[in-house]
Amino acid sequence: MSQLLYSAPAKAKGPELPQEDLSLASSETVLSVEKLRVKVSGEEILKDLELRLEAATIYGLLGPSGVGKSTLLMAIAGLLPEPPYSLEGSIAFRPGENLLKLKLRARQLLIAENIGLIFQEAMSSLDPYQSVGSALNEILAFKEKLPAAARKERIRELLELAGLRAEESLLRKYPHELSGGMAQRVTLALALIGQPRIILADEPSSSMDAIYALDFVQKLRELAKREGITVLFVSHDLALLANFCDRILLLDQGKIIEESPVSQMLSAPETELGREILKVAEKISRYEEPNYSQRNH
Amino acid sequence: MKRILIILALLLVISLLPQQANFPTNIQEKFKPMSLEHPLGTDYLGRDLFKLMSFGFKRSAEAVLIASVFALSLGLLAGLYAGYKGGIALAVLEFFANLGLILPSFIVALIISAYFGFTPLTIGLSLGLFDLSAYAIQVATLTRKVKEEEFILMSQLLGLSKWRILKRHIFHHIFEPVSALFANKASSIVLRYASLAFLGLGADVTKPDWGMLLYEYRIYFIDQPQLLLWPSLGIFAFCLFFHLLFDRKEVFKGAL
Amino acid sequence: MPLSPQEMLLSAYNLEHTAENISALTEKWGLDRPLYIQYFSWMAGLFRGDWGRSLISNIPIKDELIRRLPYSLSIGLGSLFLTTVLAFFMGYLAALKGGLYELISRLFALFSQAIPVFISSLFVIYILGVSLAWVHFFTGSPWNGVLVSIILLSLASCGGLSRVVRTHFLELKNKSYMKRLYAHGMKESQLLLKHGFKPVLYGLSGALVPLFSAVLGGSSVLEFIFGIPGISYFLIESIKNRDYAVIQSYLFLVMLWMSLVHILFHLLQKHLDKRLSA
Repeated sequence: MSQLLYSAPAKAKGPELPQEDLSLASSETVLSVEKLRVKVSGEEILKDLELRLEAATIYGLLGPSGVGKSTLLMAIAGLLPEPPYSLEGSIAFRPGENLLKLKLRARQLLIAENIGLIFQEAMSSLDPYQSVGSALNEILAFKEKLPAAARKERIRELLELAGLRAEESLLRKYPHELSGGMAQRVTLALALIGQPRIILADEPSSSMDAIYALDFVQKLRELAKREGITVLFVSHDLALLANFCDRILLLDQGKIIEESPVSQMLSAPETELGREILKVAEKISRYEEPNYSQRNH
Repeated sequence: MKRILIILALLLVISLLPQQANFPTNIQEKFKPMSLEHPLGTDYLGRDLFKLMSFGFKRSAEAVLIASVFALSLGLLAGLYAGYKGGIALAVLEFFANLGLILPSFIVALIISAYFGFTPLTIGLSLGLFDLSAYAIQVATLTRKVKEEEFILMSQLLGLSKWRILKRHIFHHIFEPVSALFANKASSIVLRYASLAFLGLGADVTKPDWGMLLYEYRIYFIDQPQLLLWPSLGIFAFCLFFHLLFDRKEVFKGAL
Repeated sequence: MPLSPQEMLLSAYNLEHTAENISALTEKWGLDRPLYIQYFSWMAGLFRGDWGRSLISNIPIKDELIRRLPYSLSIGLGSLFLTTVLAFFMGYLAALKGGLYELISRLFALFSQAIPVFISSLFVIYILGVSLAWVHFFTGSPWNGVLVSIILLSLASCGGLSRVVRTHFLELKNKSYMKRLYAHGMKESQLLLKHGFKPVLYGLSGALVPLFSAVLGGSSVLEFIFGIPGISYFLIESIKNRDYAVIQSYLFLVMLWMSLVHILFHLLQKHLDKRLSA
C-alpha cells in the first residue's frame, strides 16, 4: 500500500483512522449527473460529464488546476448564473427529475433541500456584519422552521456536530474574531442545517494549516458516517483525500475519467493521469536529496 | 488619442467663433421665429439669439478650459508627487484636499466673483481651485497603489530608473479614472458657471452668459418658451458632450 | 473691486457718492483700521457671541442667521435624507434586476448632471404654481418652496449616488457568503437587502460628505428662485451689496458646520473600521 497513509495517528486524540469502510454503504443514489455540458463564453468546461454519488459515501474529487472541479460543484449547487454560463444535460437527486429543466426558483429550493455547501475561504463564507448566532438563526428560521425554544437546542446540536464547543460566547462572536479553523467549522455547522443528504466541499482545507486540515476532514468523515451524509470533497491534494475518502473521482478534460476506491487509487490507478498524480504525490511525501551532481556542465 | 483630437477641434471652433461683444437691439424685431437671417430667432430686445448663444458658448467653454487646465495640471503634479513620495507629502495633500472638498465651492466662487468681477477667468480659476483637490487626491491614491504593486517588479529590474518605470506604468492606470473624473468635473463647471450667471452677480448685460440669458428670459416662460429652450439645450448638450467623450463606459455600460 | 459697500449703501439711500460721505461711512464701520486689528476684533466678537451688524441694514447678523437657518437646514438635510433613500432603492433595483431599473438609474445620473436644477424648478413653478395653481410659491408660506426644493434637489442628486449604491450591491452579489446564503434557498432580493443594508450605507458615508457641505451652500439657487428666506438667499443679497460683515460671518458659519460634520464622520468611520478590518 502507498506510503501516503499515515501509519500512526499524529496526535493522541482522534478516532482510529477508519480505512476499512471503502465500500458503498448502500446502493441508494443520491446524485445522478448525466451528459452534463457546461459552457461559458463559448468555451466548454465540462463535456458530457457523467457522475453518480451513492448514499453515505465520501468522495474526493481530484484533477489538475483549473480543469473544472469547482465548476462542477457550482453547477450542482445551482450557483452558475445562466447568462454567461449555459448548462445542458441532467442533474438529479431522485430518479426521474432533472434540475436543469426546472424553473429557477423551484430549482433553487430543491437544491437547498438536498445540499450543504462549504467553500474554500471560511472567512469570506461568513457575513462580516453578522454574529455566529445570528447567522445560524437566520438559516434555521428559514430551513427548519423551528420555534425559538427548539432553536437553541438545535444550535447546540449543530455546533457539537461540527466539533465546536457550544458556548454563548461563541454565538456572540463575529467572523473576524474567529480563528480560521473555527470559522470553517461554523460553515460546516451552517451546511448541516436542513439535514442535507449531500455536502459539497470546495477545497475547504486548502487555506488551513495541514494539522487543522487533517483534523477537519476527520471530523467531517466521522460526522458524515454517523449521519449518513454523502460528501463530495474537491481537493488537489491526493494525500489529504487518501486519509478520509472512500472513493476518488478524477476529473480531466471536462469528464470524469476515473472513479476508484481509495485503496485502488493508491496502488493501481486505472488511468494514466491517475498514475501520474500518484507518482507525484508519493514523491512529495517521500523526500529525497536531489541529485545535484548532474547539474554541472 | 481620438479624444484629444476632438478637444483640439473644439478649441479651434471656439477660437474661430465671432468675438462679438455687442448685440444690436431692435425692438421691432423682437420674438421673431427661426429664419435664415436669425437661425434661432430673436429675443425680447430683438437681439439675434444665435449670436447670443455662440457668445455664451464661448464664455462657457473658456471657463471650462481655464478651470480644467488649472485644476488638471496642478492636480496631476501634486497628486503624482504626493502619491509617489507618500509620508508627509501625502498627509499634507490629503489635508488640503479635504479642505477643498469641505468648502462649498459654489459659495466661494460666488464671493470671489463679487470681489473680482464675473469673467470666465475669475470663475474658472475659483471653480478650478476646488476641482484641483479632487484630481489631486484621485491621482495620489492611484499612484500610491501602482507604486506599491509595481515596486517589487521594479526592484528586480536593475538599472532602470524607477521614475521612468513609474511614469510608464502610471499613465495606464490613471488615464481612465481621471478621464471619468474630468467628464464629471467639466460638465459640472458648465452647470455651476450657468448657475452663477443665473444668480445675476455678473450684472454685465453686454456679456451675456447662458445662465444670464435664462435669468432674463425666465419671465417669458409661458409666452415665449423657445427663448428658454436654446440656452437650456446648450447647457445640456455641452454637459452631455463631456460625458460622452470621457466617461463612455458609464454612459454605454449596458450596450457594450 | 467693482463696488464698495459704502457706495452700495449710499445708493440705497439715494445719497451722493462724495468723498466725505464715503470716508464717514468707512470710519463708522471701522474699515479704516489696519487689517489685522479688524480681523482680531472680529474674531473676538465672534467668540463673545457678537457677530456684528450688517453694513447695509444694520440688523444684528447672528439673529438674522439664526432666524433663517431653519429654512436652509430643512432643505439641506431634507434633501440629503431623501436623496439617500432614493439612491439606495434605485441602486438596489438596478443591481438586482438590471434591465429597466438599470436604465432608469443611468438616465437619472446622466440627466441630473446635465440639467441645471433651476431649469427644472422653473418648470415646476409653471406647472404647479401657474398652470395648476395648486401651490402659491411666492405669496403663500415659504415652506411650500422648501418642500419642492427638497424634492427637486433629491431628484437631481440621487442619480449619481445610485450608481455608487449599485456598484456596492454588485460587489456584494459576488461575495462568497452571499452565494452560500443563496444556496440555502433564500430569495436573492431579500438577501441583498438584509445583508447589503449595512455595508452599502457604510460605503455611502464617504460619498455623503460632499453632500453635507452642500447642505448650507447648495440651496442658494433654489432659495433665490422660490424666494425662500434662507441663509443662502441672505448671502447672495449681501454679496450683491458688498456687505463684508455678513459674508465673513457666513463663511465662519460654514467652517463651523463643516468642521462639525467632519468630526462626526471621523468618529463614525472609526467605529465602523474596527468591524471591517480585523
